[in-house]
Amino acid sequence: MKLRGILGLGLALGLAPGSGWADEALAAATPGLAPDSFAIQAIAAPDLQVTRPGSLKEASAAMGAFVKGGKLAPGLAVEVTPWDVYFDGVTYSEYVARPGMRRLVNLALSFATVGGADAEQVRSAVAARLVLWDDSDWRLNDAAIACVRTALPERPRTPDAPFGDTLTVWPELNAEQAKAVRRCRTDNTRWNASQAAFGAALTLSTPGGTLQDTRPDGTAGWFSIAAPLGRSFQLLASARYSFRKSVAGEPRKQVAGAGARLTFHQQRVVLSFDAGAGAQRLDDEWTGRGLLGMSMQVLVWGSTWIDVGGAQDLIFKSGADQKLTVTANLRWNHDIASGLR
Amino acid sequence: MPDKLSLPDESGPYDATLSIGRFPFDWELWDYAPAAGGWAKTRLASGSNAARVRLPNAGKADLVGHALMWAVTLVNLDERARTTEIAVALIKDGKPPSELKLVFEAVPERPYLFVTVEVAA
Repeated sequence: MKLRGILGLGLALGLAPGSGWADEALAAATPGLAPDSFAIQAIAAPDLQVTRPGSLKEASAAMGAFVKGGKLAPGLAVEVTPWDVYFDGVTYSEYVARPGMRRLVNLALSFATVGGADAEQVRSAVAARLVLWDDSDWRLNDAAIACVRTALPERPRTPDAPFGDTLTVWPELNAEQAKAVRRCRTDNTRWNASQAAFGAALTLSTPGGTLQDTRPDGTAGWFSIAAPLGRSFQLLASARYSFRKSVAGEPRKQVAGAGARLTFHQQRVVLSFDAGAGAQRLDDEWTGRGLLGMSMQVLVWGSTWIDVGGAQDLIFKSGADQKLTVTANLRWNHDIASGLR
Repeated sequence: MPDKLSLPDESGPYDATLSIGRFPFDWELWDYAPAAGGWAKTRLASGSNAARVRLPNAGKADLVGHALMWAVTLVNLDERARTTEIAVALIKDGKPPSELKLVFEAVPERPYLFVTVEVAA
């Protein structure tokens, strides 16, 4: 996981959208890869800390935390992959040879809850994210694997007498050797590798957290596809949809959007151009959002980047004036974890 | 002492297998036979990824008391630790295999594994 220190300076011109002005439509218009933990997106709680259990026992404990005092607890998220909880049965050769098995073990199942005080309803989502293909998977990359075999120092000689333990893991790589191994992944994986993924979620409402009152209240979907264009460009496109029926006095809501991002990357410069459109329908009231954006990142030194960006956000709302928001950002971004490795 | 793995039948030939989750790996299989004052070690085979090795010892009496050791180099470029299963088996065609399973945390910084079993009756 990357730890990042970010210093941000933002400048907004024009009229910022009000809180009721369909930020979800703008999110749907923004291009992005379908995320692992789709459940937190489906209930619009992307800041939730996601627990990722590494075994069946841990998965069981993580799921148990969702029920407190017989009620559904809000503010929790868990993501499980069959890979982590059911790790036997599939060998590397089978993983490479069987795309269907690969998709299954990489399936990300997530569950998340959000809500307020006891009397309020808890919203939850159960979701799945299926990777259709991913050319950045190192297990399918013969060059990366060959690179590791070359980068690793020779294995120690076998001892004259067998080890006393069934499993001996020894010796560890030093920091420099580990860095050389990690570089095999970055050096041999195309930054603009082709990938596609699909996420689907069912959302639920639980009034007062009372489990037996839980009812489905909506659905959500997210499809994304990314493809290289030569060595320096990548085209990413995504489409999102969500629906929530009228619950507890809140209006029925539908949100849909699609966006595309063209990214150029060469040496120290990354340029991205975004375009997208989204719409939200609350009962019979429509709001549309149009997005045009551009950002440039420049690697200054080491793992320190300067990030300059700008976006035009067009708002079309039935019975209201059109609004245009122009934002520009200047950001300094240093990857602390990479510096420490 | 390493775990014991019993032979699946009274008579050979026997095969030995090793698999390590969904990781590519290189291995050597060594046979340690008790000898006066220590052990006599013989390299039986080497290769990559899960494979089946025919043991040269003819029967039970030739193998019991030996130790089999796989010296492994794991190729691992995962960004996070993976709980991974190691499965070792002694196989005789037509008989249920004798199998041992272990679990460990695979991280790129620890690529060298030695998996040792003592062959039992």
